[in-house]
Amino acid sequence: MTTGSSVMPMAEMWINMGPQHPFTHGLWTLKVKVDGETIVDAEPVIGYLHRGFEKLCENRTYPQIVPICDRLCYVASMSWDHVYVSAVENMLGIAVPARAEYIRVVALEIQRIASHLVWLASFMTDLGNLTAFLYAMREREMFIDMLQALCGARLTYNYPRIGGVSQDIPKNFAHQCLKQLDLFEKRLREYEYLIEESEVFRIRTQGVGYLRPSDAINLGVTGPPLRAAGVPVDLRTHDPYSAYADFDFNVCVEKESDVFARYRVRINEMREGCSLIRQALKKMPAGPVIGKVPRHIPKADGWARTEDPRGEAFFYVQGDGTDRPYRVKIRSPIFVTVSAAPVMLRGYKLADVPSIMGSLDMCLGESDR
Amino acid sequence: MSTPTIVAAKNENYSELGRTGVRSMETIAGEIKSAFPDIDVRIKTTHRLEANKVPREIFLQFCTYLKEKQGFDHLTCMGGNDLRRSWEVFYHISSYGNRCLIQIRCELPRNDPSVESVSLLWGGANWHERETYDMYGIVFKNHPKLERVLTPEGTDFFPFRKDFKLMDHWKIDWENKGRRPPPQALSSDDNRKFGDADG
Repeated sequence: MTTGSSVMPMAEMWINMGPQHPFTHGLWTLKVKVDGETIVDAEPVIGYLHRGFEKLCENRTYPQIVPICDRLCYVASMSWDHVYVSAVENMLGIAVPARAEYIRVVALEIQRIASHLVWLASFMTDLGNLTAFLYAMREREMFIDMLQALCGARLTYNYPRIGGVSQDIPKNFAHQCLKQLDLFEKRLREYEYLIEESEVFRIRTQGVGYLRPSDAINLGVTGPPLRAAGVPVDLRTHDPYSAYADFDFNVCVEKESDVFARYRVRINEMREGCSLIRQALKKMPAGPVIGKVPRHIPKADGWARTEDPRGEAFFYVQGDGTDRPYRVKIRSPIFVTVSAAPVMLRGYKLADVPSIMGSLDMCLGESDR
Repeated sequence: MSTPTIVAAKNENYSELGRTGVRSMETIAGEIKSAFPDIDVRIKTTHRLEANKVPREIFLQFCTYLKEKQGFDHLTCMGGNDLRRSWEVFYHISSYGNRCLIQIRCELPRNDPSVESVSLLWGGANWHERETYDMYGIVFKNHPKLERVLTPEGTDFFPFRKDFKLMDHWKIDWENKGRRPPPQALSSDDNRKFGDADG
């Protein structure tokens, strides 16, 4: 019993983490099989928030679906509205005015930063850094205010329309926006020092939650976890949509594929987001913000895929010639990423679970639909 | 079980993925056509292929060919559909290396909603297939764990089927100026329980 080779094995047991647990950030359960402190196996259980979203869409006309798309993800509503209207535009085969596309890019990038800030806040809470939580929430307020100036709502925007956006940007929007971006970029540097210089943070994130790049591709992991594994796939450059082909920005890639790399990818994406907003505001063309939309819906199907803050968002809309879709299918990035969680968790300690699962940025509204 | 140490994989360098060596859509479509002459593969737009009628018998063979030979390495999405006279499964499979996406649709007979699982080819299909089974009752053969994922255990109906009746008072009559219809009494011969799949 004294030497390491003859240690008595402990009985393995299942632990239910959730549905009410501080690390879950929503309602879901992570069943973890542990051998002592070490995770042997894991199984995520979701579905607590299932609302039958796709069935709900079958009973609504096409414009009526836009506001409920907001409810798919309550921290990144704008990107879900956008992917839905893009899918319908693809189905109808209509072009969107250039100004509307640029406004959409501005809105999407503001939304991406706001979403990453919510992630930063909740992730830092998991790791016990409450100062960063308060700061991240404070900065998010600026971006929420920008979106409020754009469309009047703070969380559920209902801003993109099929064929454009609902209204033009307000007169002094660009000026205000640039001012706040300057402030934000300055502060972001401070927060990096605050977070990364902490040794506790480094120990809890570096080398934890490793995912092989080939596994990440095969398991369908997308977004920051994929780019943190060294795979330079960002749909904004990989398969450009909206007006992203006009801008010059970097794809944020890290090599380590651990929790810290995912954190770095998100921080760098916020920077790139600021640069994108600046470019879009500078190059914004004049013109209408909503195009002509046909009144007759063809019997056709359309899809769109975009780079959500969490990964690859995909909407498939199948129309049968009536004013309602026959079938809507949503690919939620988190639904697929969380199914790959056991691969990331196996072999690490129970205390690493909040860190690893926090790095995925769970959002239950979109994964349960 | 000890804590794993990170060993950086040697052969896994993806830094040029999708940037160099991108093959054109015409090449890919031509090769697929020569390998599977029965399947109608069309080029829809610059990054989009469509194979809308894939027979169920050669479906798995076709998917294996796409993954092994044509580099379709990422399953973006899959889902099922109830066409009333038949069932359908549709797949959107994308290739990071060639920057394209193929849509595959496969029709299944009404009396036998089953198809081969592709979750051993693409791990990302695993939960999508579970969800399709959960919502439509389409069975995926050789799936590692075909259980319900979104609805609770013990659910005995498939809610996305077209013959699944929604509760009447949830429906809003949009033709009639958005008024809600009066609650309807169930007829005497209607033995349907709430949420019964067979209507």
